[in-house]
Amino acid sequence: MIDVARPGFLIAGALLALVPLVLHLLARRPGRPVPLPTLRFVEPSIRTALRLQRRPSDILLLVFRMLLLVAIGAAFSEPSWTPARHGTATVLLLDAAVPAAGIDSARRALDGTTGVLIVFDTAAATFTNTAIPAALDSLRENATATGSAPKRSSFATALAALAGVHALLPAADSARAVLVTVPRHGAWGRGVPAARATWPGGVELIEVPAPPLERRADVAASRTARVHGAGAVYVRAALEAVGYRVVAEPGPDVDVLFVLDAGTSAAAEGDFEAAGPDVTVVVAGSALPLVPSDQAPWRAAAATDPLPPTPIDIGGVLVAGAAARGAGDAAAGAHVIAHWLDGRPAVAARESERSCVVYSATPLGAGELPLDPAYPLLIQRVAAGCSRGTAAAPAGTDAQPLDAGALALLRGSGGAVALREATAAGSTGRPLARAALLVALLLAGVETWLAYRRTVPR
Amino acid sequence: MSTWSLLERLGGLELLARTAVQGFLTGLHRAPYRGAGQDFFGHRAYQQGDEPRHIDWRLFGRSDRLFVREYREDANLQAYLIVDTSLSMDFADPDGPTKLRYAQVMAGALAHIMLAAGDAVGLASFGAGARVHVPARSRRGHLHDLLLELERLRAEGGGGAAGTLELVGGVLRRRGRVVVLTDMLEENAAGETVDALGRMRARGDEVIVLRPLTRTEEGTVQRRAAVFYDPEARAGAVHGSVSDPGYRARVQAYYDDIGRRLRERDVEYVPLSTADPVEHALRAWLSTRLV
Repeated sequence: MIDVARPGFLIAGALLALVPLVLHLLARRPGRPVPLPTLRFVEPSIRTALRLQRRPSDILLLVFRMLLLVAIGAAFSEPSWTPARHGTATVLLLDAAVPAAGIDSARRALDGTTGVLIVFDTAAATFTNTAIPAALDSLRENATATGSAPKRSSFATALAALAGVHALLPAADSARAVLVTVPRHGAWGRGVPAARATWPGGVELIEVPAPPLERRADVAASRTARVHGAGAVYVRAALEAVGYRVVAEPGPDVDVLFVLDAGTSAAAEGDFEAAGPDVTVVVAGSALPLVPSDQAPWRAAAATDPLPPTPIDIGGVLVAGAAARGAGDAAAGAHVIAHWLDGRPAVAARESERSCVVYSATPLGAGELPLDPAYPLLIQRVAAGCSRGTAAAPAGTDAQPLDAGALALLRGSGGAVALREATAAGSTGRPLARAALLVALLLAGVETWLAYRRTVPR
Repeated sequence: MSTWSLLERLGGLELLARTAVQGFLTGLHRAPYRGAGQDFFGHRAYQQGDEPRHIDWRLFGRSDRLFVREYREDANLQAYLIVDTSLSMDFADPDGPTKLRYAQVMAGALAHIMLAAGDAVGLASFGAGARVHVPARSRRGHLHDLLLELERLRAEGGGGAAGTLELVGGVLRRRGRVVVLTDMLEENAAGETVDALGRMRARGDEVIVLRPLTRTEEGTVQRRAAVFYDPEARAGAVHGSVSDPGYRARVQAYYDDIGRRLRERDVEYVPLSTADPVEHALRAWLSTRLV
């Protein structure tokens, strides 16, 4: 396809080409040759010849003059030629952590289409054309051999790699993005929304079932928990990810009771009152008043000048995204489970004759805290209560599933992305201005020769 | 419709020639026509068709028989009309006669006059080749033969007059008169023809060249610059003009030079224009013959 940067010149050339045509139509036709018994007395006149030839009665000369003017206009219009594009290509983002079934899904997604394969974990590798089958075969062998060994992946890395695919698909009109992954929090990062915004179209999400989680030996498979309050869904998910069985119905005591805010239901209060001495009670934010002061691990203070929340440090592991930061300090007799980055306590626990009470100065199910990859670790540590064990990354942290909002953000809206728009800033079209100028010069030479041939008397 | 074309339609060459002669004779001031024999030769019996003015009435009164006078020159002067029938003669001004047609009428008129004066007149031509169409005769009805042959002349070829002049010179038994009607547009400025004419004059024959030319060729008519071509030659066309002074000067110089060379050889040269009536041309020719 030929593009023109300055169409005005092309239009001007076409209009100017009409001038010799109009002159041809308006001018009188030159008289027929006149016979004369002898030409010996007629002086050949170049002026006469030129005057007669200024009437462009010669069709061939007229055509060349018109083409010359059009070619000059075309040369100044900065034309460029872009090879024709065909069809929609597939850009496959393949999570290196997927099991073999995911790789098979990826192969099916690429089958029969022109495409690019981007394999990512914490970095991205791109494969095109004939290299794709070999890459998929290698990944499948690796996945089969290592089973479901957890690997960390980064959606942000994968989405950032989409920005450069237009250069890899010169023959395609558009491209669709397909993400094959186990949608889990482990691959989510704070840079995902920004990276997602660089791809204007939609992303097809092929969700691969997560492999079964490994459970920590120190986490009893039978520990139970009940959660009340705002953000309970996130806490429940995190507890299940680390091996707890979360129960919702009132019943026998659970091992851990979460009351996340003061506006809890009567069931929450009932649970709190009924909690036995072996129940670890976790309260957060505004739920602190539920705890008698002699059992509370926290001494609240007036929030005259609230400090901004920072990432929470739980034994060297940072968890970011806290929505708020409660004022106060750990009470006497309490020990700090987690700190803010400035060293102030964020979560404190206190043992009493009743049980273990844990207080979090930040809401545990609000803000972007649940989106942090280490969130389950935080919940697990909080649920561990007054145990002074070291924090360790629980197995299956990466397997925490993404919620609907995160999935919707990944999918986005729209369909395939037109690659022509993507290349608008840097056109790959070949400039034709010089070629047009050469054509114009050639036409000028032929026109001059034609005109000269007719003026020189034989 | 011009008078010329009207006469053509009505009577052809014969009418044209007779009209020219009548016009010529009307303007004639009864000047003696040199060349018609006036020496009394003798009497012969009257034959039907003889002109009454030649009847010797004195002898009739004495003999009661009709006799006509015969003059010496009547039977002795031979004249040949040589017409140029080359392709260059087939050119005309708009609404005018071709030079060949003009020459045909001129020759017809001259034949009329000379036969009336008692000359024997023949007809020859050159162009496609040297040819004597009609030998010189003076008998009754010869004019009709001459006009018939004149009418049959067609423009073709591009040969010069030298061959025909030699041919005519060979058939002229005694001092004769040769009238050549030609545009003198030959190669080498008609050098061969001029030389042949000079040789004929040197023999003692009376030689006259009547040169018809169109106004276009003379350059006296305004015409737009155009592409001109020579139908006879194979050369290409020329962009130019026949109306500029340079063209007229070149034409004039060419014919002045020919006239000079002819006069040097004592050959009469009469330039004519096809735009002028034939009777005017006859008068112009006659003016050279007044005693």
